[in-house]
Amino acid sequence: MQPEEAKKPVIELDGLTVQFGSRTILSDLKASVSGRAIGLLGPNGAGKTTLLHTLLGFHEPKRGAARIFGHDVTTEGREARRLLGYMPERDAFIAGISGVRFVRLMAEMSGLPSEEALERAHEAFFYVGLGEARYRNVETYSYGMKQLAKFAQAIVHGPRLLLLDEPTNGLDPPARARMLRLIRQVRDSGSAHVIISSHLLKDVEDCCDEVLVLKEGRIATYCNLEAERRTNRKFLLVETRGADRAAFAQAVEKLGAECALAGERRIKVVLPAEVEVQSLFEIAAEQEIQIRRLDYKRDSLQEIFLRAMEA
Amino acid sequence: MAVYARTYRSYAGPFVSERARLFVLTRYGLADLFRSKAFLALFVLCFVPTVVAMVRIYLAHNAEFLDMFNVPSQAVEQLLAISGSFFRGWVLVPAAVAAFWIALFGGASLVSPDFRNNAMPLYLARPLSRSEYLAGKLLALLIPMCAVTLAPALLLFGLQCLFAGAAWIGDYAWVGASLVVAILAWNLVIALFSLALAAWVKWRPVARLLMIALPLLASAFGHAANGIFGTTWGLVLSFWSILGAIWESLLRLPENTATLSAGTAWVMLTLVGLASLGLFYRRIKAYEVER
Amino acid sequence: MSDDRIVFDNVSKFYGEVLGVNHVQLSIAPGITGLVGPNGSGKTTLMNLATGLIQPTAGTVRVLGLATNDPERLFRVVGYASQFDSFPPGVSGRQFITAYLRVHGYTREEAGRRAEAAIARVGLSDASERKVAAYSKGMRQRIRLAQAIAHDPRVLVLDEPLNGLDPMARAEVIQLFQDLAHEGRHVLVSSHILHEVDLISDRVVLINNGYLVAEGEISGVRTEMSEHPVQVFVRCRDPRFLAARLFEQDHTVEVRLHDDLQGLLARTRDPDRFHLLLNRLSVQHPLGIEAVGPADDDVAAVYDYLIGDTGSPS
Repeated sequence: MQPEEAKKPVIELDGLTVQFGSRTILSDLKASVSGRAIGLLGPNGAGKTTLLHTLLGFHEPKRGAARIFGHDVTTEGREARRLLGYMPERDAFIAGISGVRFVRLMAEMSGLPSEEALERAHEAFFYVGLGEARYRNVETYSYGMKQLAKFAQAIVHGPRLLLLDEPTNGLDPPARARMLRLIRQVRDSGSAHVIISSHLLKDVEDCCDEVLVLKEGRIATYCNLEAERRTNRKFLLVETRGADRAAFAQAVEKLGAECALAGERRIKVVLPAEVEVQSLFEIAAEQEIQIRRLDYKRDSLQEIFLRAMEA
Repeated sequence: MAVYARTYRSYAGPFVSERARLFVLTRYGLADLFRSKAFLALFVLCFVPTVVAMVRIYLAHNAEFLDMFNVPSQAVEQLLAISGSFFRGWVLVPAAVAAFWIALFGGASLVSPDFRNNAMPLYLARPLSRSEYLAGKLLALLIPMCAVTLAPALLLFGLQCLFAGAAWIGDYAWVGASLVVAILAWNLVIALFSLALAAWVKWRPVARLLMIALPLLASAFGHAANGIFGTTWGLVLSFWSILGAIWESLLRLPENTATLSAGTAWVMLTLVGLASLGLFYRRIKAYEVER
Repeated sequence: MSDDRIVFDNVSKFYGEVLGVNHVQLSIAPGITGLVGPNGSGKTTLMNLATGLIQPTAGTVRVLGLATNDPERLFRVVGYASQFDSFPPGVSGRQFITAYLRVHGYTREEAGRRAEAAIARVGLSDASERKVAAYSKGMRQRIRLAQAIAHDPRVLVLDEPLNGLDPMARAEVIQLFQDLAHEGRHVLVSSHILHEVDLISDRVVLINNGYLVAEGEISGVRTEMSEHPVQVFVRCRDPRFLAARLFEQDHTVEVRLHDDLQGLLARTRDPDRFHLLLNRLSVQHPLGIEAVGPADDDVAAVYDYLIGDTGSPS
């Protein structure tokens, strides 16, 4: 990565407005996005896919601009697309040729020389776990395999920004876990940023450090998940077993915390700043009660999303 | 022992220049076409008329050896004399037919797979423009088409020049140019026609069927219109009439049937070409908008 | 034969030579039942058997006491939403539901009323006049759901009903399922999103390769898997100290430090003693515990154990 490019934000939206005929789909979007992995969320019809398509140069903005690593997607579309890898939501492949040939073609279309493209195509197939099937024609692949092949063609040319549209759509649990693992690996490699558009908040929570939430063509919120998670650390959910839950809760309240019993075994606790989690265990040791579960609120993304929708 | 972890590795190697990008499509297209045994057989078959024509040209100039068989060589040479109608009947007609069949099979093979399973977004998400996609595929189709039409034409014309001598060449060099123009024009238009059909109809057999059916239907309609209205304008709908008119004009042949004027024919051919180009171009888009 | 259950009695289904399901024995009570398994495992076969769309090759299926080869009576009590996205062209949402209800035998007024109610329940009232072909994927999903509930069935069989829905719509539809279950209905839901299955299901059925792998409430399934010790994760500042102390215990089977060295994963045969030990240790030593919890007390963990990641996709 060139030093100048490293300082540029991954995506800049500068008053971006996109219309289809007379319908406004995206309205005056302004943001400067630079996380490692960014979740793109929003209800159906909010404009997520249109935003991705605009970044890919499929639509021309009516007003404003969008830039990827500093390249305007309209005037410098080719430079921008050189740095992109795209995994569309729908099935996308070329029937009648083998998996390796398909991904090799895509690599060459991205500008790789012929031999390098072949090497990278094989590598990509092994990396996503389709090594055994790479000589088979793509139309013989199962749905999950086609998704992985789609992912392979998105990464084969080593893009700096991956655009993934519903990458886990329709995948069964092991395939979904594999896909998320691959996405996290790419993110952690440091050589590519990832944008994931998804309806599954858990997937986004697991992979992303920032989220951009769209609503009715506008940005409802853009925030950093890490920061949110840190502020949630004092809100605890505790599950006990073995002795009197109410007595435990009372003792905890004496520390200055707020306690509320929830359900059959759970206790919601809000600790004051000066009290540490350690204290709860001390009380538990005294009362011979087991703390089976203790964790701070992990549904930060759910909250962020709901807040954004209500705003 | 060293253990190598396989993690994601970004690409740090060289990139090919932008210009060369569209030739990748041509290269892959040609490879895919010739992988089919049926296509290869068709390709080879297209050369058969050329071989026969070569023999005929030879006989037209060197029939003396026939005297050995008590065949009147003079009469044979008279019969086989090379004239404008030879070039029409033995070069342009086979070329037009060969080009048509190559385009029929090749167009659908080259383009339908890309549209049938939504591969266009994958192409267009790369530094590739719609024109480059079009150009790459067109070239992949034109190359085999020209190989079975242009190359044999030039070969036959060259052979005729060789046998006929400098005097003939002086008078008839323009025939060579006419052949090239006629063949290239038809090749280009019919290639675009085939590609446009294949782009709009995603299933190969149907695209091919349409490519046969549409011209036939149009021609039949034109002839019917002629009969009903008592004109000859219906002939604009017939590829055969269009070609005939163009060839007559290019080869300066005497008009022997009531046909179109060359000007009209050229206009029609151009219109078909432009319409096909436009239709193909419109089909190259990265998404289907859901209303 | 209980009249409030869906019963599969040693059911097998073969499509020619291809196996659908084999020797399935199930009795499904009212409430929300999650159906979980890889693609091709037999989930759709099971659902088609429950709705009478196919008949078993062997064994019998009875839904609330009714035989499944009697569509007249069966479809009055069963509503089905498949995962396939095809609709008759040119109809609006309301027309689609109303037509379906008319086939059921309702009068025009009744059909209209019920259609409105169903459409309102899935939150599509604004869009009911528009053509279904113009709906987004999520809306098509919801209109299918509306069709399944419109005739007020006691049993709902839903194939991936949350597919394509945005987070808010998911929450609304989940609430709908819970309301329906509260009303005493059977709601059979198949899904790949395991944490949602966890959230909404009263019980779970796991199926793999056409065979029933497990069924019951999650904690129930767990306790039956006694050959698998319990996994517990602990996030703390000093996992090494904790690990060393845990290894001294005879109930500890395995301890693994997290990659970031800020926690560990322990497997123990005696969770009670484990947790009490944790209390004592954190008093003795500043462990800095941030979080504790069972690492496998959910559908995802059970799925992993019993079905697992079968290596490379094939």
